Amino acid sequence: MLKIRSITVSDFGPFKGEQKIELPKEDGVVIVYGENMRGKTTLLNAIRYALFGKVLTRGSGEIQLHQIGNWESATSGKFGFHVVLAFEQNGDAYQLTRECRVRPGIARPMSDADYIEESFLTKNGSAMGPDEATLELGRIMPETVSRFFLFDGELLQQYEELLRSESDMGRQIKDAIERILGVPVLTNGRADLSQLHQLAQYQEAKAAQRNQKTQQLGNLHAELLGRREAMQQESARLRQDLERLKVTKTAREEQAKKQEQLRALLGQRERLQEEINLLEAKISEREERRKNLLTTAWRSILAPKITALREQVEGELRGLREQATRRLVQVETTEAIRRALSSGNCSLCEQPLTDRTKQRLEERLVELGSGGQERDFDGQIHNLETRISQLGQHQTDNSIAVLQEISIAIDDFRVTKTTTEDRLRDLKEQTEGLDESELRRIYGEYEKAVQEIAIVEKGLKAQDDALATINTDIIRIETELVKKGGSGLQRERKRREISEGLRNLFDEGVKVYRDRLRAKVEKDATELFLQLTSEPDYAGLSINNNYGLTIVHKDGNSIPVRSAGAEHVVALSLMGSLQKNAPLRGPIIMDSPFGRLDSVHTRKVIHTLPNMASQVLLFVYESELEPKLARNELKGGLRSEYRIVRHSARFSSVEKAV
Amino acid sequence: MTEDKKTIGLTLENRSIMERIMDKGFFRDQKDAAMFAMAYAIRQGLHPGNAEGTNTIWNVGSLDPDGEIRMLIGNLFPDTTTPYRAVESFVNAGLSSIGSRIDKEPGIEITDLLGEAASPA
Repeated sequence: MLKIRSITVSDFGPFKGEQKIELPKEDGVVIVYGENMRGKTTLLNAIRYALFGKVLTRGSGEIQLHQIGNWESATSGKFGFHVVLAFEQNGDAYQLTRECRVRPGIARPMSDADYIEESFLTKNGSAMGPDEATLELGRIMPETVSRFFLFDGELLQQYEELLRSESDMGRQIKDAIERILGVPVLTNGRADLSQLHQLAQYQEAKAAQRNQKTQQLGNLHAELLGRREAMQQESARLRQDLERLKVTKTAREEQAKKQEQLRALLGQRERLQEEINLLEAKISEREERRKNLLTTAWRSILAPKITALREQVEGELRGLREQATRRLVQVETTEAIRRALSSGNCSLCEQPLTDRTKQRLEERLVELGSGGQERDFDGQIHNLETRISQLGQHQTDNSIAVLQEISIAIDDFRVTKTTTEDRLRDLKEQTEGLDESELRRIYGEYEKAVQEIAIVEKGLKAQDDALATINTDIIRIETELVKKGGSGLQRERKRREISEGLRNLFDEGVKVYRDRLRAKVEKDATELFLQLTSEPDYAGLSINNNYGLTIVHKDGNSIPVRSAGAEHVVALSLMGSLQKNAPLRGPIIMDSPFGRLDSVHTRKVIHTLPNMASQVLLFVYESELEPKLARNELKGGLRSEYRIVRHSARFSSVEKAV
Repeated sequence: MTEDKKTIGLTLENRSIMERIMDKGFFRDQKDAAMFAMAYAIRQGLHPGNAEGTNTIWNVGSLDPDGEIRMLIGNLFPDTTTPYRAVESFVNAGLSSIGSRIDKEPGIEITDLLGEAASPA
């Protein structure tokens, strides 16, 4: 049984420098907590990378190695990364190191071609040769069955495909299930016996050709066997083609699904870009208006000063005019008094002036005085009027308020633009490398694969029909040979009959083994499902030929449609059951397995985990699985806890929780 | 009697401030920024002076094609006999003052200065 002892990552994804997770020897559960985008899926990928040299996206697409190295380390000129996986298998201690380093002479790597990838495997401290290491790893953890050990909780819904008999994804999962359950041991035996049977048929034909009585039949038999072999080879070639085409079709189907989501993101990206363009146009238009207003802004700045000055000058003018009026009255009064005193009569009523009146008028004349210096009131008034007029010409509307409004609007647009640009940057990262032509290419390849599958299937059917016919002919010839052949053919015939009997026995054995396996998987999955489900009306699970599981109500009816949560519980039941029935045992390593489950199901799954595998490693976020709940449910079964700590967006570290 | 100026210039230091202001992208050209600086200085209550060590940037004809500025300075400062010399001193004093504000608050925008300039001197 495979047991992981430690995982060490260095500059892998967000993990800067060397980070290590140690798993205790004892059976139980280890939990690594980390919030979104901290590196949980990266840790799952690190294990996958160590074992198979691959790093996958959630869409099952491979990620370029160049994109895996830690960004912060790369910024400081340190490129490349490595993963060390220490594990035990049947008492032997292994250490698997896989590293990616920059090729000599490359200062700044730009693509995968700029890296060298190397892996080393040691067994009990001794280094193994590359071929030996590959064989050993293939035996310990074949990639074809890795999906049952390393799995992403978000992808558990793929197992629903097993319910669709026409689904290629379902067929691929079914093949993987049969591999982990050991069915190939029997099917390979059946293939070997078929080979032996055909060999025996050739030997019988040869023996018949040597005998004069049966020579003609022997020739015909040999010819038919030869033709059948050619047809079988062609049939095998077609099956290989079909397999390849179906893998392509499934891959393109998955890519197309992923691209559909990305296409929606692309649409969003275009909308955001339009929004940014519009904001840029608005900013540009307002900046232009601001520039225009700033050309005359100086007038607005000085407007209050000019207004105040003009008011001051207007005041001066009013004062000057009053002074001029007073002076005029003074001059006229003096003249009238002088005339009266000179004539001795009042200048208004012509009456003679009394002595007393004359005395008073003389006193008044003294009071009015000589009028002082003559002033140029007209000139001064004109000067002030000219200043007022000139100051009036400088008056402008107050554009400062408008300018400030425009500046506020520009600032607002810029803030909105920056926010929109941030969103666009995120979307661009998500949609990197995506374009319409790529989408068309994928659809084109998908369509092509579908058409070719139809052609190959048609050819294969024709080939199978022809094989059936030729087999009938061969049986007919063999029957004839039994009748005509003497004792000389008896030995060869016996050999043929025994090999045929053995092949048929294995054929039957495969069927029986599959049926028994399905029954065992169904029974164990049901047992787990009943422990996991919170619905008392469910009686169990029923299995189909593809190992697809359907929930059965206690009234005996199947539940046709199930929720994402129920799908999750069913998939986990299948996982546990496969672990129990597989000859190959190993740890269960799950990323975000509780995301779709409510608290009741989460508690039940946690409680059941130690029964599913002897070693369980979980990558979860705290709101998905509260540490307190995990500790309460697992008690001593919880062996250790780690936490992924954020230092920056591109720098996470792993720390053991106290 | 001192002769009035026929050209307006900036000191070396104020040239650099002018470039920093222009980099902010608010003004269409340096002439608009110079007029802004002049108004900023006058609004701050400064009086006509004499800018020393300037290098010619504008001809007074290009800065004040219709004589409006000369007339304005004459009205605002009736004792001034050399209005363009006064303009040059105000432009330089205004730029220097704006430069100090930018040094204190690098993030400040021209329109913030506008608000300050608009408040009573």
